[in-house]
Amino acid sequence: MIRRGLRVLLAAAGLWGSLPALALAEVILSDAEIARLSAFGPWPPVAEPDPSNRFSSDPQAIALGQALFNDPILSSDGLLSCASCHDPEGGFTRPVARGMGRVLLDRNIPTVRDLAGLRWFGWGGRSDALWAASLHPIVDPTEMAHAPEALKVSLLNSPYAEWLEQLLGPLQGHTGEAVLVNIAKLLAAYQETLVSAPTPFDQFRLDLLQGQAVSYPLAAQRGLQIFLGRGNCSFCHVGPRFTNNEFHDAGVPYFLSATRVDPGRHQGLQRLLSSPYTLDSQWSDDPARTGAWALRSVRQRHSDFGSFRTPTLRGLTDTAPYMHDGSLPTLEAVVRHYSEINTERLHADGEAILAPFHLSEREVADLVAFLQTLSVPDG
Amino acid sequence: MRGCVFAVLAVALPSAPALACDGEVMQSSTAKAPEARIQFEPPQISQPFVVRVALFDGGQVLTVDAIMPAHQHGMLYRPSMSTPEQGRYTVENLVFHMPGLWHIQVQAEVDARRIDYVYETVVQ
Repeated sequence: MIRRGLRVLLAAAGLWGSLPALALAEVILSDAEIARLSAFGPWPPVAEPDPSNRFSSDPQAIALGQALFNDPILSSDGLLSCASCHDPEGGFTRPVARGMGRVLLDRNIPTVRDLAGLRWFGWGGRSDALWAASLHPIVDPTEMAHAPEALKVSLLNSPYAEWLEQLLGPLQGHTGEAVLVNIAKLLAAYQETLVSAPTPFDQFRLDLLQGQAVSYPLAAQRGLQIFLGRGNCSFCHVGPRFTNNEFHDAGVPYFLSATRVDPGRHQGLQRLLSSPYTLDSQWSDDPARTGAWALRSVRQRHSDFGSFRTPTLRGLTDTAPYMHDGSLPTLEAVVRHYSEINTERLHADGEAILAPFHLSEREVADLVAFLQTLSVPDG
Repeated sequence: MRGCVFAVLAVALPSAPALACDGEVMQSSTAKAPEARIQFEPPQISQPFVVRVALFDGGQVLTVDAIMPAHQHGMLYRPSMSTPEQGRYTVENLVFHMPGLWHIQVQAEVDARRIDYVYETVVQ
């Protein structure tokens, strides 16, 4: 049980002997706020194999998936790999507003960390399986632009042929589409392993819930109070992943140009419902069709238009710029966007959640300080 | 009153014994509305869960849905309702995608009357 008696400022020096000085912090959260933290962990989640992907959790498949992720052989001209956009050294994204495939793409590059177990993938949620989300960029003419049959030929003539055949059997016996799906499943098996490490927030949460003394900056605690309270952040950024993984209108303009808009979830849902690559399709390896209920029962709403998937907040400091179009360069800009949100940009029939909450300069800094604790510090 | 014939099978305890008259009473603004009860395990945010609804004194449940009144939105998925057994309905795939106050709404038809029931629940 958390006791007020623990909430004291302790000078660590002298308490910890030869250990490095560690400033133990006062806890300013209320009991109610502390109780709410339970829902934001534990982290990392227990890894469970994806039943729709027979390669999930297979070490050999994971190793091959990693090699393919980093190899431009998956693009038609050998110029782009998955890692070209999802840079393993840069939070599995790139520090650019919008991705660059064969053309400037419409959206910010989402990180591929912490994707295992999600229900929807991509800003518009066009996929309900990680392997399906991994497949689309390979064939998309604006990205890797590889036709399935050509992909099969490329792989047959590559150093990967023998390795692939150990897992898939003779490639000649597969259609190009079957090769494409299996490559996507290998990529997914690798990406499932990309789980971010516990953060200072996770340690704070754990210490609090276990009644231990904590070491967590007061500014971050004040920011957490805004996050849980008047900021209304935790309506959507909830749970261990800091996302409900659903689609919301965040008041970010969805005009790509004077004549083009990004329909967001509306388009994603149309593509999902017409896709041959879903949990409810012949390509799923799961006879029970686990998870397909969502595809079957998802509602189409007017407010889907211009709505985008709530991103995780974990690892934020690695993934600037922010929002679906990368239009906000810093965490501070994101906080100011929500603090002074223009409600004229929100759907009239959307959710009545967002309203300006007019943070002071110190409060902006506090909320940023909290968000920074959702990443693993450098070094 | 024809008597209480509601049985509850907890989701996490499929072998739990049937319990007569279990579950919470749902509210209705309709005068002399027959009793309806609901039972479910506390849901997790964004995870599908199952509710059991029982309608007493005959009639049939037409729809089960939920809204978040403070936010003016409902659920993002259509719940699916099983064929009733002895006045008991099993409804799957309700999903509360945000924390806060939700209203589970049941629309029923009893003796050619439409009756709306509501059950309030707060999700953390």
